Amino acid sequence: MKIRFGRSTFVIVICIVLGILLALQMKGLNRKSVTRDSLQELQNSVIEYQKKNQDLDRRNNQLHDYIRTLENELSGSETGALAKIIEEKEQYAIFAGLRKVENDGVIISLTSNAPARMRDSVLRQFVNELASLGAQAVSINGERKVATTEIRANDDQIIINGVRFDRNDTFEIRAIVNPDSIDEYIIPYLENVREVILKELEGENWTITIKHEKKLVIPALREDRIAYQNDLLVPVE
Amino acid sequence: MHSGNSTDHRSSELLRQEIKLLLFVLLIMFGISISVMIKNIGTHNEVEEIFSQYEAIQNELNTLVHNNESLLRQQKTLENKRRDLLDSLEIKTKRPELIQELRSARLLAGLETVTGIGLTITMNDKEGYDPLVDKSDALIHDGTITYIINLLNGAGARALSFNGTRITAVPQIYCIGPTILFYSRRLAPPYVIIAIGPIEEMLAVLETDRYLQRITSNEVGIRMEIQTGQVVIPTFSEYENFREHITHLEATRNED
Repeated sequence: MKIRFGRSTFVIVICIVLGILLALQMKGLNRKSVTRDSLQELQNSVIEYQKKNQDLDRRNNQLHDYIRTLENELSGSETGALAKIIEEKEQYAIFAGLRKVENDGVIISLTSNAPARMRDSVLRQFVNELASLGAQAVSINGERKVATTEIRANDDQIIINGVRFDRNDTFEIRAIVNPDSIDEYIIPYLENVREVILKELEGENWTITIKHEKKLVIPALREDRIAYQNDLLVPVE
Repeated sequence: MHSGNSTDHRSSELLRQEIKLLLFVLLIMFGISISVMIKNIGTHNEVEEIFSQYEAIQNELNTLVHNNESLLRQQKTLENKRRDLLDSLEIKTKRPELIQELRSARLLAGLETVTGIGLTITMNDKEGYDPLVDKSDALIHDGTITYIINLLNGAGARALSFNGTRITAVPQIYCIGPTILFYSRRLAPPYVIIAIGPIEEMLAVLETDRYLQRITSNEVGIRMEIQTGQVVIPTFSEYENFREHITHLEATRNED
């Protein structure tokens, strides 16, 4: 009986020690799952949030100043609200693509020689590449690219902002980008994109040119375009 | 009697053997645990160091996320105050067209949270994607997202968002490895596009598009789910400062 009791106690003690060891091992495993890569990822998130918060803080300060101007206007102690409102409206309009803008940029000309025809996918690819390169304004054949612009082929035409263009014509994409990186980065990058596209279009006769343009002008979205409509949108208070 | 003793003897012998076996297994496990612990002694310090750094950065991130939420709340309060002040100013009665233009520009710029009837499109890569067996089409790329946005725009969408961020005039959407970068945000599936616009037209264009039919077929395996109903699309300023995206633009007079 004593022997049995002794054995049972021994087994219990061994099990407890083993349990503790396993728990320590599991803790170690959890810690090991934290690698230098996940640490780096976390650090990137910290940098991202620091930047976001700085931006938000700056914007909130601007809003504070703006509200103060409006309050002073309301109390009659200052008259500057009108200028502030106009400035604010212009900033929104520029961002929305409702103003003609100018600066250094790039022009991409695309011609598909018969029997080849312009492809909407090629236009979209260049536009997307320009966007990822940080382009701040883009137009295709004089049509300003805005948030709801469509670029799609339909039979013999390419439709942009509801306007039809002949697929056999030359298409011109204009983009205003960071002037400091046009020659050293943006044009070489776009030339690579051109090479990839031309390889994909092997067998078809295409001409694609890319050039740096000083004082490039990009038109505003015209008010009669479908993209100007906001009838289905209800602002949330 | 003799037979009873013999049975007891046999069962106690069996019990002894079971205990021995159990002890044997337990001691082996004990030995393995001890050897693993001894092996880890050298690397322990490095792991501990990385883990303590991780914990410190995680705490810092939690604080930043908390600050971000409070700054966003502050921004909403300020925006509401701005709107109320504009409503109460005399400018509203003297220059109603100016206030109207301001609101319209803000709406078109994507700087106003909006609601309306629309679609919620949820997309996922092929389940259990295997790069050795599956086509690259079975993964969702930046091109897939911009393609769908273009289709929705063609069908008359008025406002769109991608994973909670408003689509603007020149949206920066591009692939980095298996994830998509949208402005400064790194996104992973599921990808959610929300669009306000004419539901029937938008649904029809998505359901009849041949490229989408192909990538969502069993052969390719992209998963796409579409829901209709009242949706909310956030303002762009919830995530980005729009002024940073117009720094190179100089407005000029319209001659025509």
